[in-house]
Amino acid sequence: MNFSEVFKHSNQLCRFSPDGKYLATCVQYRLVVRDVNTLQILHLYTCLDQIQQVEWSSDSLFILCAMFKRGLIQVWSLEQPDWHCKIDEGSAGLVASRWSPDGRHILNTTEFHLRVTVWSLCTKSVSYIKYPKACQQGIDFTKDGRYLALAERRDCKDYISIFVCNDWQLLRHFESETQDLAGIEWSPNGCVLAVWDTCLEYKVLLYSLDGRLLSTFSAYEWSLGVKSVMWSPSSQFLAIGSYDEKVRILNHVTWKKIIEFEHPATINNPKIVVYKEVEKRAVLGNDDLSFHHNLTMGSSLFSTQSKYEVSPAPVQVPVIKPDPERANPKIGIATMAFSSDNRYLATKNDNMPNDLWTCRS
Amino acid sequence: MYSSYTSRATSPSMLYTPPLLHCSQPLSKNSYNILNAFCTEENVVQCISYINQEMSSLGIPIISNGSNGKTDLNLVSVLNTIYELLQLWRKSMRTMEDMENQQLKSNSDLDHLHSSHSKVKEQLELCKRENKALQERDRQLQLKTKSLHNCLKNEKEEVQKLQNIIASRATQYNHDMKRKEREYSKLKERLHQLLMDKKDKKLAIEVLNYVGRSDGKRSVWKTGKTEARNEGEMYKVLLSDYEHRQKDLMVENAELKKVLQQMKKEMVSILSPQKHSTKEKIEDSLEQTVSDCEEDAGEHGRENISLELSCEDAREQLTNSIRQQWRRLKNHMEKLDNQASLVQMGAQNEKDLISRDIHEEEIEKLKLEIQQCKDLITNQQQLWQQQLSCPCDDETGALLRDCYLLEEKERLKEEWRLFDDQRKNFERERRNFTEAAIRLGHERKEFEEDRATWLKHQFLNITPFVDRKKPHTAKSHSALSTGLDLEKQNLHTAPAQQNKVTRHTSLSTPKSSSSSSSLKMPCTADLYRTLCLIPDKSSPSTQPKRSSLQDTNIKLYSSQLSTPKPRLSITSDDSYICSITGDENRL
Repeated sequence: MNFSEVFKHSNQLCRFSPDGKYLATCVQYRLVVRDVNTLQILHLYTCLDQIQQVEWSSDSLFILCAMFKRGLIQVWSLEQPDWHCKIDEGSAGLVASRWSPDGRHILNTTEFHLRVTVWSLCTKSVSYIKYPKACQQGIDFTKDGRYLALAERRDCKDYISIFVCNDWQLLRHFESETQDLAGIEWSPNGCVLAVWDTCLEYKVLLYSLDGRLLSTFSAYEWSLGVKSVMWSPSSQFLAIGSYDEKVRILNHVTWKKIIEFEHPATINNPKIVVYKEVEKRAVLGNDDLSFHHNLTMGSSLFSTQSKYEVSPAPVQVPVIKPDPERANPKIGIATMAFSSDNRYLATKNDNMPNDLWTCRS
Repeated sequence: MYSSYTSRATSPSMLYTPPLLHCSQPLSKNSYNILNAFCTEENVVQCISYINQEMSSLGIPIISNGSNGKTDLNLVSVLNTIYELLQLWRKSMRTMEDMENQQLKSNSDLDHLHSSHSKVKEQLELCKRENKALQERDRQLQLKTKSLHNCLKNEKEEVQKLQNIIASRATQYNHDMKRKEREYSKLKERLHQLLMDKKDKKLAIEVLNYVGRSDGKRSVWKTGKTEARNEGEMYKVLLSDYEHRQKDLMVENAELKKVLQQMKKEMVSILSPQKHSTKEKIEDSLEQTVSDCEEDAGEHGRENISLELSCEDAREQLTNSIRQQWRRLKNHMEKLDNQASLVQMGAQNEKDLISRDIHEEEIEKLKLEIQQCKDLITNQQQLWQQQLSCPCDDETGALLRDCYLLEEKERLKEEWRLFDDQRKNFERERRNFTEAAIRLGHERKEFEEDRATWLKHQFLNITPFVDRKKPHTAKSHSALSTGLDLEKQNLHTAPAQQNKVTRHTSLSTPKSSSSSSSLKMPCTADLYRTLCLIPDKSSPSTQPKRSSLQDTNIKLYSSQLSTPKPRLSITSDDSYICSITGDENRL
């Protein structure tokens, strides 16, 4: 791997454009846009305050810079560097900001999650959505950008609203059977919405696009429940990672568990292949044998040599015991990713932070 | 008297018991001494009477004594009594010995019994102690289990309690949360109100200019129509997804059904060939399965039709039949297993049952054979395919096609060559013959002419004008001879004549020479016929033959001299000859 010279940036804000041609970085209150191939600075924009979030629009024509402290959003255009746009939330404050899939609307979440304001760059109009839920993942757009699902909370009950992104009209509004909704996620085909409850209660609900409850899944009760949820790219499988260090996969036909993966600390099964990285600097690789163990030992930016060795069974995976006194313990499956052909699933257990597990269907 | 006798009997014995005891040992006569005296000269009679008494009590005949008190003793009776006494004594000794032995034996038995008794006692003690120990352990273990049970119960109760506590805490927590949330939402409402009322001028968007929509369309107002449209679109999306999924499921279903059908067919086929098995043990069961299979085979037809409809009944039918077949197969396999185990146990006795190993070997061999045959078939198929498919280019194709007949073609060519050679030979011969025939014809004609003249001369010479004709006859003779000579000469100078003749023939038959290859020479039979060398069946008499010959000769000659007339134009030599014969027939 070759490395270029080092560029300064702040707040770890560094984003590639969706079309892959530009790279946006922030230095304090300046936004630098570079060309990806030459790394030449194409544009330089100055914002009014320190930038805290940068986001490209889906068509790579606009960049959004959010300054939460001031409650300001500034939008810059790549085609017309002179064009500018400033959105001021005023006293309402700003907590989060995002583009809509069509790249012409900005959704701002005000402080205390009072409301979500939808600003339109085409019409300068504003829409308000009241009572958004303050949770891990309360807003989700479908992959094709047609619908928006928003979690709401009124009168101590959870609701889900589905909006049509075209004209921001409310399509469906229904109550969710969760105690305290923690997140919602559309399936890639845009027909099923997965809704999961707070970690105090293991509950995953599946709603169809028109608001009907398709199925409920609950593996156990009382222990800490769902930590993360991931759809497979074909919408056939739903992987649920929980605090009990297990991944459960549901199938889309019956919405029942088809398989359960464990992440034990001692790997004895001879069918599991364990790769151990022995030198510095990781080169990520996934093999098609079941489990895969990746250990990084210190890092130096420019050393390139590293290789993987097969460790003989039994293998002890280093485990970090979470603090039982603290909330949100670092245990359980927080990160999952499917391969694009639906054949492989990579998971990471939080109390084995240096290990990547790969399962094959 | 009696008592005195007894006292008397006893007294001397009392007095003389020691000596009597001594006397129990066999004594010789000489050891009789004064000390042992039981009988002295004074008390002989009393002794005798005493002895008699004793003897009688013992059942031994008494010593007969004289009634006069004489001391005369009957020696014989005394000896007898002594003998009897000895016998008695020996008997008693024997019994004593026996009794002593018996006593010894019983003593030893008793000792033995004593010892065993003591051993058994010890063992009993030991067992009792062990028993006690085990009982003690058992008791302790029971106590332990009881305590563990109690612990378990306690733990369970605790768990239950904790769960209840959790549940109650959860409800409490929820309640509290709800309360706080309500408060919070009230605050939010208030804040919201304040914000809205304040009409913050800063709450605005500043845009330099409007940006077009990404899809180029204008935004629409919210109306009922748009709502309906949105709804419609949403349902369309859902429906398309469902349809897609249903298609996938149908495909999968169809495949699974196919697999099931195939499985069923295979199972039936596996179970049915067992009809020909000679093993008696399983025949009965198999008969039943065969009959079942036959029943099932009848259902095939029905099922094939009904499967297409894929209704509930068809599905059930299929699954039920598969289950049935599977059960039968299982039973069959179990029976075979049992049989195999039996065979293994009694392998030597059963001669008609093959051992498992040999059986398996045979199966392996057969499999190998089958594989080889299959390979052979596929190879042949491939070759055949190659054969039938178009060749890469025409030449090779033509070559390939011809290659099979190459040999035969070569042979054919050879034979053609031979044939050609033969034909040429034949032609040559024919030509020779024709020339010869022509010459012969010439000569015959001349000969006939000469004969005719000679006959004329003869006829004329019958008259007295003979002498004048002699030189004619001589002439004619000479003509004849010369004709004959000529013939001979002709025959000898065949090639020269041949040339002339060939020239003539070539003149007369230009067409024939030009197309000699295509023309057929007159066949040998015809030639002979014309030359009268073989009998001609067609002509009735020989007479016209001669004349025909003449005519042919004349005709030939004339034809040779003149240009070929259309009548005699030749397309083939056969027709040439034929036309001639036709003419002479007319003639």
